[in-house]
Amino acid sequence: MIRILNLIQLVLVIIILILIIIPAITTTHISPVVDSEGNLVKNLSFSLQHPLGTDYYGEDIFQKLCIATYNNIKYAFVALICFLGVGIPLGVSLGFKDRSTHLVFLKYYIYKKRYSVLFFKVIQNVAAVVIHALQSIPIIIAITIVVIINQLNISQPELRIYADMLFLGIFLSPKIAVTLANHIEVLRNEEYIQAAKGLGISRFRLLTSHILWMESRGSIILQSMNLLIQAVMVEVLLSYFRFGPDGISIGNMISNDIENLTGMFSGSGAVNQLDLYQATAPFCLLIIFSISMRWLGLKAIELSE
Amino acid sequence: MLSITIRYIVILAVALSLLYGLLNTIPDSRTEERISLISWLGNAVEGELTTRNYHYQITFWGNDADENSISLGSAFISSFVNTSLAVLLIWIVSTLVNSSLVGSSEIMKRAASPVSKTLGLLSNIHVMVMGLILYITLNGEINSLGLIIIIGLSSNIYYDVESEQRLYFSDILNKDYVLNARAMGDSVFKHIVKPVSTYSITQILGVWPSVLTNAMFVEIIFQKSGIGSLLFQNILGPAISSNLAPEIDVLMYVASIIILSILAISYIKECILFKLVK
Repeated sequence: MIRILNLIQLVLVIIILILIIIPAITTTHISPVVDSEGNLVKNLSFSLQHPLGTDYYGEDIFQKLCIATYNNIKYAFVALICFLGVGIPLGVSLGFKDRSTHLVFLKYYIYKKRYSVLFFKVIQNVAAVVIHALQSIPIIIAITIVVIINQLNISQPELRIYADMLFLGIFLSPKIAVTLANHIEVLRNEEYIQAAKGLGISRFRLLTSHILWMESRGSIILQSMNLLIQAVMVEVLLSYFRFGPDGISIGNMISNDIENLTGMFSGSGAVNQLDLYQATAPFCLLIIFSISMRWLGLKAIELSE
Repeated sequence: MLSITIRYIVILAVALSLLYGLLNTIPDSRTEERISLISWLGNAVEGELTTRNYHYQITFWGNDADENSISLGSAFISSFVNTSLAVLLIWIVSTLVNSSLVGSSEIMKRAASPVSKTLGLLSNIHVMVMGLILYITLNGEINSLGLIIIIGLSSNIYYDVESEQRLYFSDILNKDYVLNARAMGDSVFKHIVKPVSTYSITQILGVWPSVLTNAMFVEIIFQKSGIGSLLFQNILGPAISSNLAPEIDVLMYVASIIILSILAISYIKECILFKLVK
């Protein structure tokens, strides 16, 4: 019964995400709304054709949100590729053999001429140091340094955000690496893994099929979802301080509306219901996106168990 | 212990080299920004933080009221205090909730269950979203307690701490020696206080770096004194908007102190665990 309920929740979250992602992928361009006489239709109220109305420039806000979501997903996927590309090898290197950093063990393997084990041990120690070093740098410090470097090295603004995301993925990769290493360490002594080893299954197949796919996919999905949320939030943070991308993005939409919104809530700005709904739309999208992504990750873990 | 110490020295060296390497990838046209690691260390030790023509005079202990000066010390203290208080808040709330949930009183269980679910749900919201929503609704005005609550109860940190702690509590209450003490009518608290306090210390030290990151996010949003706002508003902002040469050595100095503090906390945690295993 609980499994069916979990499955229903998972399907609901996937439907919400599809409702967000499909319009985002299918909307490719934005064109101002004009009436029959060719005039711009500014600040239009809600309608079936324009679910969130139009803004001051006569642009459909729903279309704008779709393009912003598409752009943010694009940026986040660059971070995700680096996150998985760096994090999984680091995690596997750290967890594949017994963890021991004591130099005496390395001497023992040299003495016994067990060079293959020594090789794995050296790789493991290097991975452990890299993971620890990356973990010790808080993400805000990393972002600050990366933004300065990219600003001075890359002249094209659109490429800068991709470079920022690339570094974000690398700096956050210890999260998945540590999770995977701990997972592999627990699994190493499981009976079915020992049995698979006894049956002569290759190390590569054991790692990819038995450990990474069958046992760790839930953790990988959860960490990937967390990374996607983090990447979207970093884009919002950078756009909030005008270091973000030049085009339409969730961060740019929020930073453009934030002064109007604070004015509305403090009572200093004119409270127009239409403006309020339009300005809060990117926020609502951000909240729905982050909560549904997190739920999807948690449900993936529950179902994989 | 020696092995742990050597490992941490190596990690510190690798982290600082990584930062130094990254900062020195600035193009050749700005060669004047490149600094040698030795001269940077020498300058920092002597207290010479501002070495170039920059917007602000940067000192470790300076006058906060002076608009043209930035004092790093107060920013560090502010961030570290906020982080420590937020960690303490997370631990207190999670211990109270978990004690009620794993305890024997049905009324307490019923009362704690919705609290746990609500806090867990709130915790799933990223600190940026929660911060921005509160920034808008409160018009950027927030007191210290509010700041600490946002730092502690967002970005999954509370959720992770509470769920891990609950597992530990359930596990320890089912240990043989605890069941034996209970059967003999002895106080259970007396038997679990030592392992629980050791576990709590390591857990608090473990989440400290993540909470520090949250604190920096919140400081940036609410423009409160701290490392986050110092980095974004006083170093990154002027460096990019006016195309000035960024104070790389100051950035390196700030980053080094934070990395050092995070590694020191991890080192203490590992030493406690090492002693425990021994």
